[in-house]
Amino acid sequence: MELPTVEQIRETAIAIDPKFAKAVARWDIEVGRDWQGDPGVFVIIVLKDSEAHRVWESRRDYKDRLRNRLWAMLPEGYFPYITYSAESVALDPEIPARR
Amino acid sequence: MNFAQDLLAQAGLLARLDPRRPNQANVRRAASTAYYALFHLLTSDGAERLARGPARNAHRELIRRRYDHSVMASVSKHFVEARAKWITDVILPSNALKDVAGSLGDLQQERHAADYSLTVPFTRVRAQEAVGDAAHAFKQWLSIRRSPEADFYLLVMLLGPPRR
Repeated sequence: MELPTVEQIRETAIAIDPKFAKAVARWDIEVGRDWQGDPGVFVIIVLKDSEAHRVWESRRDYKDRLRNRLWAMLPEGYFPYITYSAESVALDPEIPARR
Repeated sequence: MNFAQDLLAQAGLLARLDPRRPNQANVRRAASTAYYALFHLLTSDGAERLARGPARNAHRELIRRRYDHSVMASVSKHFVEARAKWITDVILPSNALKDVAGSLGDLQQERHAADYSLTVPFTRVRAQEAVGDAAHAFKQWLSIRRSPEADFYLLVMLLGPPRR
């Protein structure tokens, strides 16, 4: 099995849940090695400040689905690491955005 | 357990400090502490499970300190994948156990990023995600901690995977 490209991973992330993907400002994706030196794919889902609150409760479900999809795409030995971030350093996703 | 819960609570507090501009030390420590909360929850349970006899307090401490971060991460990856024969011959990991093992791997990597990758600011969301991930792992662990699969996971994390 060949390693997917960053673009293929991004397209997969969008296809899993297009509605959730609308809340994402960008996917920061890197293929590299984890702190132990094992191969990994690192995905940081950077949420839009204006949308983070809307999708915060469903983030775990989306992350699980993305992880499962990546498992199926990655060569054996690669581990998918997925986390969330936001456009602003200070954003608290548990507080609704002011309009 | 109390120490692990206190660490988790502390991680949550650190992640919410400084509403306007989070201090990098606080949000990074939040992610790091979230990992250590789960680490202590699991290693304390492992030591509690294995320590026996009149000197069990001393044994418990010896066992707890024998757990190795790197071995725990490697073993956890195997449990998430659930493909290795040495696992499937003994148990079929439940989703709860896979969640715990996956969280341990994710949080350990996040701890490393929080402590050593200083070029990009660490966001509050990233810290809160680490805390949420640890809290979810706590919940899942408490639902299976007295099960044979939990015994097996704790034992293999202490000893490492079997040699081929």
